[in-house]
Amino acid sequence: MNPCVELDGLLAERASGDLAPEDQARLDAHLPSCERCRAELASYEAALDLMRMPKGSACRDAGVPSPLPCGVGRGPGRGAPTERGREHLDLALSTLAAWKRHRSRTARLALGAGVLSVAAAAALALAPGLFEKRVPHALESAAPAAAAEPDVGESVETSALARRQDDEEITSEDVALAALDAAEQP
Amino acid sequence: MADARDRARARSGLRLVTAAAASERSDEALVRAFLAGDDEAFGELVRRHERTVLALLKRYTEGSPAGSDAARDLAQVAFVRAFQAVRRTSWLRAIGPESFRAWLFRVAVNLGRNHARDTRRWRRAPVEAAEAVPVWGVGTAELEHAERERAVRTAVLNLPQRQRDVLTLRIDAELSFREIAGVLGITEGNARVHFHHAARRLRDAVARVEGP
Repeated sequence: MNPCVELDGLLAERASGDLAPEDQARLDAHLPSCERCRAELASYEAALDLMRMPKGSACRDAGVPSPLPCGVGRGPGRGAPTERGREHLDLALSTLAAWKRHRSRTARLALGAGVLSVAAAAALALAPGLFEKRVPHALESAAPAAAAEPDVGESVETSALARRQDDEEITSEDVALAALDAAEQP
Repeated sequence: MADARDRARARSGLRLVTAAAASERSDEALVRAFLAGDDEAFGELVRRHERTVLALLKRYTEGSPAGSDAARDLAQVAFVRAFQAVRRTSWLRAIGPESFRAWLFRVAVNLGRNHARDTRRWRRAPVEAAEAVPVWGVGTAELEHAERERAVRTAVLNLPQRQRDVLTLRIDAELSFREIAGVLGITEGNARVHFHHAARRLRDAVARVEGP
């Protein structure tokens, strides 16, 4: 392959100032003998320089990217370094203000999340009572399915227990009342 | 107007830090100070990197209706997002391979890329040319130089996205190809290839202006 074609990519990298040492050595060996590659390198350097901001200029120091060499072609009253310096500081100020806004918004959200957490904890503390109240309903809704095949003995026990307080003993009177209940069922 | 600015400056407690003082503290030291609540460190980080961030974003906002205002707005967003990420993540513990600078530039490039995509969505025509800069009282040589610069800026605007990313990170942000690869999540060789293609387009654009 023509060495000039092979080295073309390296010329662009060299013009940008970041070339691997081994490639640098290859170019250094080739360039003195090749006028065409030297011209190519010069054209890459020129193009990239046109893209760069002029170093050390007032515009660059003031932090203002400029499409023209600083001080060239700017209208009257524009581009004065002191004014640009103010703009430069203004970005720092406005960014700081934006950051503070973000921080206070985040703090408000965190506070809201905290309030919601407390509310959720309180709801959970009340939930067992609510849950316990719902258990009998659940049993009742399950009862018809269980009664698909009537079993007198089981229904006696269920109806008797349904009417009893938790801590009371089942007496013979309870069993008798349960039997009456069962007899009354169609 | 100047009084209002001074009052705002006094309220925020932000002061201009001299170049000598700035060079004493690394980005990482400033980030630590910022996380400890030092607003001045925040301001110094912005001041230190704003030129590069603005230059990067200008490559993506040039030609859009909002122009340089969009670049400034996006620069502000880039800083805030970078600081958000620093605060949210354990960035200081995982600082090894990526510096704050590279992190910030990655955010800026992503914002710029999104802005360019959204702008293109609303404007069907391709970017024909960068905005012409009014020129007063200059000679032919300066005008020709301005014309060549304009051709280069237009060529940058029309580059494929990845080539533009690599080119701006190399030329405007002055990142090495290795750093660029880290920022963009590509290989170093890939970054070099993209740069080569981009540089060739710029060179051709200048050659067209200069003529045969």
